[in-house]
Amino acid sequence: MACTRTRKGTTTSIVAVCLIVLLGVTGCGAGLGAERPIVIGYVGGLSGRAASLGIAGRDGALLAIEEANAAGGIAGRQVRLETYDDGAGPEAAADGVRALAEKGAVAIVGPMTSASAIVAAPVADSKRIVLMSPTVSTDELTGKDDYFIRVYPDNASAAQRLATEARWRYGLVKVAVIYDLGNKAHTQTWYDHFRREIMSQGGSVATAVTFVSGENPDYIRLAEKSIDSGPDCILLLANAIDSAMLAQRIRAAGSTLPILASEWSATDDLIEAGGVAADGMIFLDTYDRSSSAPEFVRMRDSFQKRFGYEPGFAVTHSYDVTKMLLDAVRAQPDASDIRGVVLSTGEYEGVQASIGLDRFGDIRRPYYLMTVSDGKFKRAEPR
Amino acid sequence: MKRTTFAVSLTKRLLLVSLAPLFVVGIYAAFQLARTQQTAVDYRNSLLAETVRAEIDTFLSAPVVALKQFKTVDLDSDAADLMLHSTIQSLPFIDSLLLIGSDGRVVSAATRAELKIRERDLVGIDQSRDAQVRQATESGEVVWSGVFTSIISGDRSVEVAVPLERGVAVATVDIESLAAHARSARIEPDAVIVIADRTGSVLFHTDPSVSGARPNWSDMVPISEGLAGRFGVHRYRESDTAMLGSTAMVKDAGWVVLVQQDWADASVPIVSTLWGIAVAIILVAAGAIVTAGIIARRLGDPIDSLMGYVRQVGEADYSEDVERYRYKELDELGQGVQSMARAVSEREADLASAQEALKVAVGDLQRSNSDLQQFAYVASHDLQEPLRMVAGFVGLLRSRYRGQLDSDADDFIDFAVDGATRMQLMIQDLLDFSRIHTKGKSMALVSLGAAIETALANLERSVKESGALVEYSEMPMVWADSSQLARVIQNLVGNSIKFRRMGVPPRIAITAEHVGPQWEIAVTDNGIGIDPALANEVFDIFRRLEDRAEYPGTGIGLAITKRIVERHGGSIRVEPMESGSRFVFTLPDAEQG
Repeated sequence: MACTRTRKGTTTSIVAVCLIVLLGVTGCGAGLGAERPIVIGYVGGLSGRAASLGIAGRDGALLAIEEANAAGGIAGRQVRLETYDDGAGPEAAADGVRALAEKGAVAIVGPMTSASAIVAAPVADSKRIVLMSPTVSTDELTGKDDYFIRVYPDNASAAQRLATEARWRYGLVKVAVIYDLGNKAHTQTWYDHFRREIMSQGGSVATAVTFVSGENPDYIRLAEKSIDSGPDCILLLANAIDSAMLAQRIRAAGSTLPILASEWSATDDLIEAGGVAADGMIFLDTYDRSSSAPEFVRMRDSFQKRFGYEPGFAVTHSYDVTKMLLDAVRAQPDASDIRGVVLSTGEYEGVQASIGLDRFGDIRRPYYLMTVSDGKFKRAEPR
Repeated sequence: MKRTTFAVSLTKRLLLVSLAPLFVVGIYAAFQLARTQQTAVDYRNSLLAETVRAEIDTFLSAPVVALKQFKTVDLDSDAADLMLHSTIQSLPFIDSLLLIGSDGRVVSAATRAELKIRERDLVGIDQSRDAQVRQATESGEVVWSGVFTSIISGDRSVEVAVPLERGVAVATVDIESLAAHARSARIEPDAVIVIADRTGSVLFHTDPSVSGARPNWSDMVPISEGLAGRFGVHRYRESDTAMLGSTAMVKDAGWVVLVQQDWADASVPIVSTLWGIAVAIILVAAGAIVTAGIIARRLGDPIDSLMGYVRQVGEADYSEDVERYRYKELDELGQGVQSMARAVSEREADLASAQEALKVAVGDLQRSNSDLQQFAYVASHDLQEPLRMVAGFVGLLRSRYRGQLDSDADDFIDFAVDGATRMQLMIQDLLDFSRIHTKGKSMALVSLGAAIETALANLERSVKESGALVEYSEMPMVWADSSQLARVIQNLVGNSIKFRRMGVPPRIAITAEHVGPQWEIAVTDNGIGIDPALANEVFDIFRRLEDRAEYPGTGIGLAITKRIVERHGGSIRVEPMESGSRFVFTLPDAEQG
């Protein structure tokens, strides 16, 4: 009976629709899971006095990854940044490498300090995972055929270059040095190379005074002791805050001596905390804030919009490092030899300048003499 | 036609009328309840966000109020320094207090004792480029910073700058103190508090490892919306997890307070309610199915019983009475069926006796008919011989003795010869009449037109002599004995010619019309016609309506015609006409035959 069949069909349809709606309402229709993301690790100091460097590096890496994901990811997979805070010290960085490797990271950005890198690099070797630092400068890792790669020049080249600039560009002969033993891996070798170089060029070190960051340094005494040694200039090898405080105390003591510093202290914190005392400081930077390179300008604007502050050298180098790693993963999705892919790159076009990698993962890149003028970083005019 | 039982059909309909509204109402109720509970969850989370915001506001207002005391104080005075140290002791969550002169240099500094900071290190330093100091100086308003690493404590801190008449007062607040304060807000155990600064950088997160990492969440929906000045309830995804977040703004600092929950946790009461409703619907539906089955059976069983009774009656078993039913209509129906059954039973009994009587009568009739036929046959056949002798000798008598006797004797002999001759004709006709059933051929599909042609061929001479015109058109095939059919036509057409009007040539029309299940064949003429009062008598055997001298014949023709038609299962009638007559006989349709 056609009529009966129709009614039966209607009844069945009503019940079916009701059940479907009911199931829909009760949320039985679970969504399908997405494909597992590619993990890039990050190890850096997100807490403690060095946090500004670590956070800047993390944010630079994050921007590169967010841009990659916005462009569709890699081979259809999203990329995730897994971070590890090594603010507690170098051992924490080693733990971070282990932890990130276990979490499936295909490569790690970081560490941000030399002390951490020296401890973490052997772990990266044992885990056969690329550890690529945006800011580490220690000489101890130079020329090693290992899994540690960096885009930052080693201390030797930077110290020698600054010594040469100080000696011949600014005519500074006698240098007082204040350096932080809290990051000895960076500062001690930096100081040693600088002293050796300035002395080799006829200069001298009037005094070298040390302190440990975070252990209540006596900035006034450190400043006075340096000034009292009668130098032509004072070299600060310290983080931005300590450098700012030292510059404040040097200027408060009435000294107008030129103050030199490594790039470590060249952050916005220095400007804010240093006040007018930061004006005139000279840095040998791997990063030019006034660069008008299109890719840099684009990255800077994107970063400012995303994170609300201006990118510094740590951000920019971290962005470059992350992009290099992403390119390597893109070229080799199974990530079986990221190290080989990165090292075979040779020259990499960073956002500001070309970065040349040698077979040991050390680099050649241009330096910029920078200074602070009216509270802003600018290229230093040659004297 | 697919048939179904009453019980099954009733069950389906009961389920339809009960389940359809149940599902509709249930789903509507589920949606409404879900919406109501969702609103409640939204409201609760908004309240939590407001609670946390109020806590933070209270927390942040303390240093601002404290620093405003210095508004008119001479910053270089010992009293100001004393007051500064007294203030910091009363506000344990403040790391440092700085009084900054109009030149941007620190005039007086007080630090929390545990930090062991040399306050002299701070006095005299330039703070003119500190963003908060600069903005407070320029705007004359209280300015809060984002998170930064304190130059004094080295910890994550926030700073507030309060403009004074001649300078700025700055307090550095340890984020951990803020965090402790935020944690004191009573929220749901599965809820997370997030406080983000003006850049989206996380100042506080319930999970210290998150706030320790200082993530910037300006791209997270509720934070970005909050930074854009849009606060309220948001649903969004975070690391592929659906989240529910409510935001509120800490106005002075421009921070965003977010209270967020995993949507799976937040929606537990909603999901529970929906499941509850779903289970209730399923239980009620199951109950409805069982109830519908019971109702259908209760209603269906009497019908099955009645149906059994009807079936029994249908099988001519009237031995039992129908049972009495609870439902009036069904009971009346049962009683009605029983009455019908009784009536049928009585009729059947009557019919049986009538059939028996009929059977006897038919037997009698058959015997009588047989006897009559036998009698007619025997009579006509056996009478022929003596009659032939009578006729022969009377004929001899007339031929030998005509004129030898007196004139009366000649007349008497003529009468005797006529009588004998007519009697021979009558006997012959009677013999034909009796042979219609016994000598008839079996029925076959024959052409009426052919029968007409045969009849007209037999009547050719009289047709010619009378000048008759016989008209007929295409005729159908009929189920008949062809010879007898031709004889019917011949008799009727012959009659039409015979009983024509004096001096008027006969006009005879033969027509056939399909009426119902049979053919009606009419023979219409323009003859003398028939008196309507005698119309029924024309088919009687040897019945004559006209003078024999004028219209010779035995008067058996129409009787034979009627008998042939009736043998074919048809009937014949004469229809009086104003002029002439019209004989109509019927024959079964060939298909019927």
